[in-house]
Amino acid sequence: MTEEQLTKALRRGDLPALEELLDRYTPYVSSVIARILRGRQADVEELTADVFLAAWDNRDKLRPGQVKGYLGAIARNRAFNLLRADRESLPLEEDVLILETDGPDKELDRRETARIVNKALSRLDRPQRELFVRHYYYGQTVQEAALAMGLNLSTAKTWLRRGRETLKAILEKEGYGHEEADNFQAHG
Amino acid sequence: MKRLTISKLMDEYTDTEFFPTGGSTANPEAVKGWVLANAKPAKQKKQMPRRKKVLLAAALAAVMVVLAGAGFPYIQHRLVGGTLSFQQNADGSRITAFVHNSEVVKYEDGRLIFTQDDGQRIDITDLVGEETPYIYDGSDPDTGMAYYIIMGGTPESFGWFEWIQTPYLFDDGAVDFDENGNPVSITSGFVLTNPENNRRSVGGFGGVYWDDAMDHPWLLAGMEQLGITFDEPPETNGTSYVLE
Repeated sequence: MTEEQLTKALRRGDLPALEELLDRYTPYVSSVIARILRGRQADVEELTADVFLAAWDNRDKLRPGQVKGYLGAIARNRAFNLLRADRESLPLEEDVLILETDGPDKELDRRETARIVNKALSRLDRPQRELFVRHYYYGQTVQEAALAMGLNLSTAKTWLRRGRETLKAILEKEGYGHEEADNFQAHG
Repeated sequence: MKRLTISKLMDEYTDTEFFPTGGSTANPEAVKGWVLANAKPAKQKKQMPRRKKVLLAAALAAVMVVLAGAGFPYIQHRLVGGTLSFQQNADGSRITAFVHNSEVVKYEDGRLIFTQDDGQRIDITDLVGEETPYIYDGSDPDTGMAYYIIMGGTPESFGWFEWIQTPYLFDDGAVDFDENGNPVSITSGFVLTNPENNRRSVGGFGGVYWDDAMDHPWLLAGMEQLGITFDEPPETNGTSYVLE
């Protein structure tokens, strides 16, 4: 079954299509979650199931070529939100950006956030973008990501710094900022 | 001085390129059993009666005409490939303009990347071919605008075709009509490009570059899938030009 056929069948509400979706993507979805919820096996399985139930409830949004990304995004955000709710965090490299802004604050809504993040990442070379995504999106440690990509640690940290500087420069240029990181609404 | 958390900003990102693997720990059968036992059955969607659809479309078109007649100066649709504008000037003249953004599909490191309006990047390399289109549906039911991008080809030679149909704002001159007899404005653009990202606009289906369109089965397949047709080809072709 092609992905186009699969998404059409899902939109029709075919349960066999949901089974096919599970067969194809359970390993990927659970790996996204397991990487973030380290050592919390029971939560991994429950959250994996939640992701597919959410995809089923929102199956009208599934499009060919975007299914894996969509599932990955739900999985990633739900896992991160569970950590945040439990006041836990991953060992991410300098996860907080300090912005220097002169003008009045502009509200950073979700659409603008997506645009700016995509803009910043598109300015990185593909390997640098991959490293940034592995670390800040998927939650891999710098060591894990560097090993997976065949980089030495020093290079990996340099690349991550460039990614942070690119993101920061765009945010400052466009005049965005918040008083505190906690002011972000929880979502996902 | 303001603080932002990068991992929180990344909540609005969707990875479509890398998908790191390994480390799966869930029992697939256990997950499947739970999901299938708890998935709500699909509800039968109510179809809007055809008569109501016709009336709705006509009402929308009428509203647009009234707005234009009342001097509503400017309506603009932002699209993946650019912008479509309807503008009424002070002297009563009207302009429909389609400003085309040439960055819809790019060649990057051997892959074809489609960038949506929100910046999300979709790797369509394995989804398209010489005869296989990838179709983006950007239609807006609230305004009655139908908007599609048909993409296709290979990394060596690829392109995209945009087709936009909106309720016609102005009640003058030659217009097209949809299947319900309502006036509509149809605008289109067709671009071919290559790994050096040298783009060649082959124009729209006002009748030019018909022969070029026939050379691209993916385009014809996409148009067939969407039910887009056009009139007889022109007797002569126009000229092509290279975009910078």
